[in-house]
Amino acid sequence: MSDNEGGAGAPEAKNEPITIRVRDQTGEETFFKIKKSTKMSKVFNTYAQRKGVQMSSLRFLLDGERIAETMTPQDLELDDQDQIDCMLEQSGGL
Amino acid sequence: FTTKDKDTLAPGVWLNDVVVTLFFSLLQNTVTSQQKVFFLNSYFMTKMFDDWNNYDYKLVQRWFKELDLSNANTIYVPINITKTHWILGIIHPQKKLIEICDSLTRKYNKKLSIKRAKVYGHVLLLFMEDRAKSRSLGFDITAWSIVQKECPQQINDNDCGVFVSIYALFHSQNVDIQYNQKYIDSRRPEILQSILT
Repeated sequence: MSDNEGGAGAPEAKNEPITIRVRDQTGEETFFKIKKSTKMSKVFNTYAQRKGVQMSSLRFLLDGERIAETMTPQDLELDDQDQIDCMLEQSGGL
Repeated sequence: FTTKDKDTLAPGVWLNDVVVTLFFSLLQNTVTSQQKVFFLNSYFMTKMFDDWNNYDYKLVQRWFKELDLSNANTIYVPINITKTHWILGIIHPQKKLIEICDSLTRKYNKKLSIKRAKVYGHVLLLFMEDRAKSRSLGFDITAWSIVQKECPQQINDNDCGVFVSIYALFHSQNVDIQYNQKYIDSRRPEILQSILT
């Protein structure tokens, strides 16, 4: 991955932006173009703002695992067009 | 784990998904890999079976990739129902058995709870079938059964999340499941403590 001499011929530079698809529970997808080094919190915040909901009521998951806000696409090994899930807070008493 | 999540552990408050899922991940740490016991999260059921009651395996086909669920001994699934109720699904792949534990099967809820057990039990069964098939494993759906298991009952309208957590704890540790509402009341601070440490 990084032992590419000179970088010549590397199709994707290290910090080329990628598109991430956020899929909600209704199946609706929202697209985000971000750099691989950008913290996911930026995506989460923007998404919550766009949807007009509090970020604390949203959960973002990659293949079933909750994504920490401080992670980057690089940490998560996300590639262009990869999809993450957005789910709503759950609660129950009765 | 935010203050908002923590506050759901106060007496009388409904537990949220973060608390339940964190507690289940703590339980995962109490078993060894040889035991082949898995504790899944609360998003799993909601993802594959939405509030409009559509089941879609594709939505979870990449989930828990590294877990050999088809050959597990026991799989614990916390299930959230329309953001109001928690029940527990226990899958026993070796025994081809799915148990549903519902702490709210009181008289006026009886019919509803039986229906819930059938529906959510069936979704778990369909998942197990699709999972096996996706890995080219045989699966005889007719050999399986789904039962609603008798379990301790809540006497209020707010503790089902605690009942689900404690049932999974006791069951997975092979402890006799004999407790009541009073005991459950005392467990909220202990769940908080175990999450914080």
